[in-house]
Amino acid sequence: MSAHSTTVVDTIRQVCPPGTPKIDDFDKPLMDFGLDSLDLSALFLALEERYGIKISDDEFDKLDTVNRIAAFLAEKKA
Amino acid sequence: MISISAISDYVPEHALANAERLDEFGITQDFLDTKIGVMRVARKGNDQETSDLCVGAFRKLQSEAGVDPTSVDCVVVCTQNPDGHGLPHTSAVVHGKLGLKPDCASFDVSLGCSGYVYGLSVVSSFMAANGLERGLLFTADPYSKIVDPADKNTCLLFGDAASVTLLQPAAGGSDNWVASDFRFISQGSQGKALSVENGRLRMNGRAVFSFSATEAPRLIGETLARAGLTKEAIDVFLLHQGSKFIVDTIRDRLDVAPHKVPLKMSAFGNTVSSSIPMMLRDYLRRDDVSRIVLCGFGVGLSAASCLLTRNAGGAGQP
Repeated sequence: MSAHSTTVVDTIRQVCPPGTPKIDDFDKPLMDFGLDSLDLSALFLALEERYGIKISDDEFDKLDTVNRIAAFLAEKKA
Repeated sequence: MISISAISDYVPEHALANAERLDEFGITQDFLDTKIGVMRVARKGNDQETSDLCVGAFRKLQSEAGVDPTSVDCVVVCTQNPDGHGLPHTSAVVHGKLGLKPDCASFDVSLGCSGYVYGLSVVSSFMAANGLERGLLFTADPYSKIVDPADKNTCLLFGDAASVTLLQPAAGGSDNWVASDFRFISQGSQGKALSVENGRLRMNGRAVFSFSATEAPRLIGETLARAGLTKEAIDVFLLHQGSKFIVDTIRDRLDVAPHKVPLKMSAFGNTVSSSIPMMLRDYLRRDDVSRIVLCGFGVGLSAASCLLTRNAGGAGQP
């Protein structure tokens, strides 16, 4: 598990409802874990603030798994 | 010093039940309960204009506060969905329907969800500058005129309603509230996030959420700093009722107790600039509340906040 993927999972835990299932597959779409569009908006805002970056709507639409988000963050912060 | 002395509202009788539309939009009851927070969206009648909603609110104000129409010196309507095409301005239509006196100023303010807070500053300043004794600030923005019935992002959210706030010089011995420490922000570059295209409302929910979740807490912090107060000194924070999710998010970011950030949208929806006064009216006569922070945010994108303080002469009145 990369540092970025750990951050993503931790952030999901912070911003999503208490009943959200454990994210145990980093290649599985987050919506399959029950996250909805509003949860994802909150997640991406938290990541933008944490990393000091902007994530466009096009990028938002493509970043649907923990691994994709972690890879994106790694590239942005490289 | 101009103060708020009474508020009344008007909600159309007809409403659409969101629970009956879950399958149509592929959403769950849980999403409706925990994220949208709206069970019914109020809808004006086809024969009702924006000015009629204002008149409905004023009739209630007459019965609740005994306001004499001939004593009104200015009428301001905050709307972006005016009567017809906005010409004549809706405040003039309201002036005519209420039979107000000729020497009564009438103008509209074009703002959405931040409009009530802006409107308080505009009307209070206008009245003070011109020595006016009695003003009416209406909010009436029936989004049913522009909502796309096939767009689940907006049609389950926005409801029609109106409010009217009576403003007059602060007087001792009666309940009245003075607004201060206004803060305003605009992000015009993000305006398309909530706009009308081809006659239909379009909303980029993520952009509006990010703006609101970021800017509303910051703005409230600035209002508190200007007032020299901490959040613990505030009895109630009345936030624009954008959705349950955005109110919950801003409350979490403010780090204040849930009972200090009420929700009031379930029965009629997000009523745009009317949402704050529709809540505020419940607190005007409460003896246990002496300081209230208001914050509206949305169309523009824009946001505004202010502090309301109970006038010392009014504390303890029934």
